[in-house]
Amino acid sequence: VAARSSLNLQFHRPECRLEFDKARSALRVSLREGGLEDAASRLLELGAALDIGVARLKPDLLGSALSWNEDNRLVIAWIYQQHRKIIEMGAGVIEAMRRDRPGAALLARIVALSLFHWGEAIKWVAGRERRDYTPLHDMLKLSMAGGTHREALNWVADGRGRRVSIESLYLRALLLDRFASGNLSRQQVEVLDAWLWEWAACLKADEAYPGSASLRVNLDENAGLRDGRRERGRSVYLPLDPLESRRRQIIKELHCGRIFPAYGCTAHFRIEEHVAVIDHLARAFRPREDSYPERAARRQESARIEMWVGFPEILARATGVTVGTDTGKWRALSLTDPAISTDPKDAGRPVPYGNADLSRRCLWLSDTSDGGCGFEALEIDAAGIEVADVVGWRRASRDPITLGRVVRRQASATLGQVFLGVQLLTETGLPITLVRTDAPGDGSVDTFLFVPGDDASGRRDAFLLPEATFQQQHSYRARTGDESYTIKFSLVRSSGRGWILAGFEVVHDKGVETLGSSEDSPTFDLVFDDPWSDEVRPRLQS
Amino acid sequence: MPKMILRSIHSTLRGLLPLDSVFKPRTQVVRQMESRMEPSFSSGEIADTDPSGREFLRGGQLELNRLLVAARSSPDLAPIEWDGDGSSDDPELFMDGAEPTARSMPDQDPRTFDARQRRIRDRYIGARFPGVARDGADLRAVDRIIKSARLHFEAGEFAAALELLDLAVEESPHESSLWLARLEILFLSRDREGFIAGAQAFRDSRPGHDAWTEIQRLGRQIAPGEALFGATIAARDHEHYGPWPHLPNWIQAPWDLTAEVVAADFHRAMLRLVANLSLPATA
Repeated sequence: VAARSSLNLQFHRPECRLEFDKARSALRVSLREGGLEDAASRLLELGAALDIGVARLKPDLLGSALSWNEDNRLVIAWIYQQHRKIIEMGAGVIEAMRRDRPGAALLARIVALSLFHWGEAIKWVAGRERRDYTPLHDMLKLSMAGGTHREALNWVADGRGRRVSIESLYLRALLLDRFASGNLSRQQVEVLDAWLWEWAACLKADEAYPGSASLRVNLDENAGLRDGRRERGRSVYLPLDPLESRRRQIIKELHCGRIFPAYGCTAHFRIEEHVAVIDHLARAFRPREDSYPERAARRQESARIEMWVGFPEILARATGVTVGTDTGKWRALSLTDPAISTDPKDAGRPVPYGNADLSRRCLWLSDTSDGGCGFEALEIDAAGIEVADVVGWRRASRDPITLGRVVRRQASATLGQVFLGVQLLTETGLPITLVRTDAPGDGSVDTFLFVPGDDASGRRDAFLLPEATFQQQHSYRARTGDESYTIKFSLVRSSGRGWILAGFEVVHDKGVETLGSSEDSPTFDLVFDDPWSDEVRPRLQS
Repeated sequence: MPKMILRSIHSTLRGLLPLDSVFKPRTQVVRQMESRMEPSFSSGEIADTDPSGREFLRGGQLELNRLLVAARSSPDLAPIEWDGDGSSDDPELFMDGAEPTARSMPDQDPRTFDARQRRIRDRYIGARFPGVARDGADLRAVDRIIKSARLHFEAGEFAAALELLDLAVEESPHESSLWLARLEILFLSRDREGFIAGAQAFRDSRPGHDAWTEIQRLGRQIAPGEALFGATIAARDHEHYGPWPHLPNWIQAPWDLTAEVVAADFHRAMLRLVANLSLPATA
């Protein structure tokens, strides 16, 4: 295709992008003048050339975990624009073909082209936008009317041939739209897309409600995929059970030491990206009741809040406790110390910043609900905050620490701003210093953040701590007033970059009379008057 | 369980030739070499080609120039109609919309994996179960894995508990305790089909195991009428005995409830601290 169109597809070079722009503009002009079938064929060629050129860029753009530079951002914005332009041209050609009625096969390929680039554009969108789903639904309805929506056709995506249908391309585009809303990183969306190509045979929608887990498209509304059943109006349902089956199959593949799919740029992504998508889809594909709960009510807020990102920063900012061991022999340099200037002219001397502390991030709390908060931030303040990071803040100086996990990062509707969705872990986080009780290191102290659970039994209580600490499996003693408790971290309730929300068990306490180690077998007789008399402390019985 | 290395009898006789090498017929190897098949190839099948390369030989010397000229000219080949991935050699795998079957998963024994497979599996285990296992080797700590699976189960994460035990069973298939813990979690999560399949696999791999009677008892409860578990028998007097009544406690739930009582006590004490907000709390 590239040879026939004689385009240089090295899109990382500005002159090649310019050349492609010119070719696209020329094609747009010829669409109005030339024959319809010829124009449609040339549009297909241009779309294929764009796909091949972008596929060559993907390893560089998506493979690196480092932040993009300005050149990368320019390229990404350009890719998005090209996909949008091809969708526009495709819509024009489809409209003309509906009037002139040329061959059905060519029409099907132009519809496929538009659906394919609709999905591709979503993956490269830089900002938040209100999407127009009506043309998408119209294309499916057009194909359904002609009975061609399930006809197999060969399609080339990422330079690789696929067996797809109009219907599967339509559902792929809508699934990408649903999942690429800031909950998954670009790498993870690419992993998901790689799976969706392989699952094309399962992407079938029925007009009858399947009676199990499914997603719904209202074909008469300008909206994407929805949950649940609809009583009136024309809708189609995508059953999720086959997709869940495929998701489990991918887990089996990983058990066997095989990345799925074994080709493409996603095969070189970190396993963690694949695991994140597996977990996300597990929640998305979970069967639910027919009656879906309303989305938690949002309350508008407009508070400016200093946010701390990551466990060390939360501890340092909230409590003044710096993470690390002070041996007294060496002075450690804290890069988060506001007294340290990064200005070259201040080299070698501490500079007090006063009130304007540039090392602190201030975000606007835009809305809250029972389960989370939404923040707006300048891009410079949100730099480095990613999905799965732990964040903390205080509403007032004497308040407990609120802790949350970033579950969404999305470009804001306002240029230069970022929207962050944060799932609340607790609004009453408490720093507590624990003493190690196992050798070596007996007597050394660590400070963690206590996260109380919603259950009075304490079974859902947890500590927020560094990942490395959990793996060391130390025992700690916590003292609260006159009581002393020995605890051991046992279960990862949640985790992210460098942090773990760890469940724990109270394993032994010198100050508490217990039956002994929980691992011991019982030694008491099976027949006794009061079975609890030996197990519960007198204070608890009273 | 300590690792056992099984040695063949010939390795125990130090200094002597292995017995099996003495009696092994030496002609066998020769016969294997003789039976090596050359690829059958007919030079007439591909037009204008001679696989022997005789056309480029003159006087026994290779005519390099002619060979290079021939290589530069593009052959006139018939176009290949490419059929997409649907024509791959394993259409069952993800492409036909049908349920994947066992044929899709040829071998799940990690001991037979090559280095790359092993590395991917280890990375997956570390990413999937942070803090529990960093790689497959960590899954061999059987008691720790059973405890972790139980904690996942108690937290309502059935899938994670079962997957952890699945991985551990693949790593240490000889450890019956892993199989039994998995069966008990399947029973507790009321997964009838999973329990039947797990019980069947257990019996196939361990015929006559002591725990089979107990599995049958659980099986009759979760899948009444299932032939695998036999006829219903009367309940025994001691069936209620255990930390989880009527269960065999293969998941090693603690007998001692004190820890749970103290955990509630700790919860209340911490809430008092939050209310008082003395920061930071001192050890």
